[in-house]
Amino acid sequence: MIKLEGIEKSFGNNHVLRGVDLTVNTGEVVSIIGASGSGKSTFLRTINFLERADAGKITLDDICVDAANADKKDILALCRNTAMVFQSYNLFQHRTALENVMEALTIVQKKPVQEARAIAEEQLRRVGLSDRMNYYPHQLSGGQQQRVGIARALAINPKVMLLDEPTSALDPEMVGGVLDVIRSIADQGLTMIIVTHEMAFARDVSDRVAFFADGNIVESGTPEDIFVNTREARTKDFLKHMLAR
Amino acid sequence: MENIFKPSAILEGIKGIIPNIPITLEIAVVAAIIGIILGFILALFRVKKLPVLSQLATLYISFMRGTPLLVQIFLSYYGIPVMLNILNYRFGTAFSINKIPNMVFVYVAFSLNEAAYMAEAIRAAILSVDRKDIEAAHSIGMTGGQTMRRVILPQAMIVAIPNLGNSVISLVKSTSLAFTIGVMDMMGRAKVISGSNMRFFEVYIGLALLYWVMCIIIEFVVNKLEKKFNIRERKVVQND
Repeated sequence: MIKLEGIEKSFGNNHVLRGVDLTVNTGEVVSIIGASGSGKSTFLRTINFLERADAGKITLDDICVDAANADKKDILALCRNTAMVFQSYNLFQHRTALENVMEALTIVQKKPVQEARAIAEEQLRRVGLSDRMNYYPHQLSGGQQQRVGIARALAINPKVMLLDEPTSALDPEMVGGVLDVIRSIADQGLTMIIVTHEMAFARDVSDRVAFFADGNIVESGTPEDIFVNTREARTKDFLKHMLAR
Repeated sequence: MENIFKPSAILEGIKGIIPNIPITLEIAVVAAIIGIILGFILALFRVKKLPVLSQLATLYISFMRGTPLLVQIFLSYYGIPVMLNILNYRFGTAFSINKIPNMVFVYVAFSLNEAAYMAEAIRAAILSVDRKDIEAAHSIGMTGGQTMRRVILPQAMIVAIPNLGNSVISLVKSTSLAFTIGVMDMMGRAKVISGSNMRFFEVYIGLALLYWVMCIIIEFVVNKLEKKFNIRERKVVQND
């Protein structure tokens, strides 16, 4: 279980996160939707300290971190038990697909190379890239790069997987394939927090959906609650906008 | 005509200078190695924005790049004995200031000078590494040191190689200043030879050719290194 309490973040005078609370149970898939600039990506990035929250508490099973006083050890513990899939893939440019996936296993988890390679090959097979293992990122399409990114995250065997707009940078024809991969992982019971603009996907894959606006969660509930029985006017506005596109 | 310009003296000059090539190379290699190590440390101070150390590094680099190397050689030549004297006076040590080989002053001056230029090349290379790669390293739980070793340095090296190569080439040419404090490098040797046979122009042509060839060789090696490390030139290895 991951529990976020009172997450606060400002960039100068810009108060981006205003005391956000969110609890995600083990095996649960939660999607965060909302307008660009509402703070949802920043919120996701405070979980593994890519952005350091000004205040708030992050609890991941037995790891409990006070954001304001977190030390290096706390941050490493959170990073090593979570994995992130980035909007622009963020693969290591100088390493092949296979090396990208092996890196965390050999360097961070100190697994023997043989074992790391076996895990990495299995994960790349899982995302459908067994024939691209020795390609460098610049030799792969966006969709393939993102699938490497997903394999890299899976290989860590994280307690929670954080996905930050995983399909926003993709060409339209690549989106479906990547979403299918994420869906198949979700179905296998991995805990996930997904920031996304893909409404149909969010509705389909999530156990719970949270609508983010002005630095906080305005409304959250089952996909049914959010997309059909919408309560808040702001959520309705946003959904009307998104579905009209 | 033979009295005005004697082509054979060029070859004689070259033959006479060749035995002194190792001295020049020694200065260049020592200064390049110490320069890279010191330069890397200075670059880290600046990239990590360490308080005080970062400002000191900036000041140091500014001074070294803003004063002539020849002046720095003299500062080393006259300054080191003075500082040793001060040490002797203050702490009762017994450093002999008359037995310091001139090469020591040259090593110090060239290494410290080279470090300033290397620091800027290395700093620029480190900063050129994509922020996204560093975020990815953080997200998989790498420590700062692991990120530096596994993600930043391998990529920064590719960017830094051409600049470091240029720096080494300019270093090799600068070694010709070492003769001013009496080091018998290629330049010093050429001065001696031309002074005795009075064929100044011919001997210096020979000297110029030797420096030129050395620089061409270095450039060739740097180009090879650049190709070797550039991933965009690597072929895909198929595994079946």
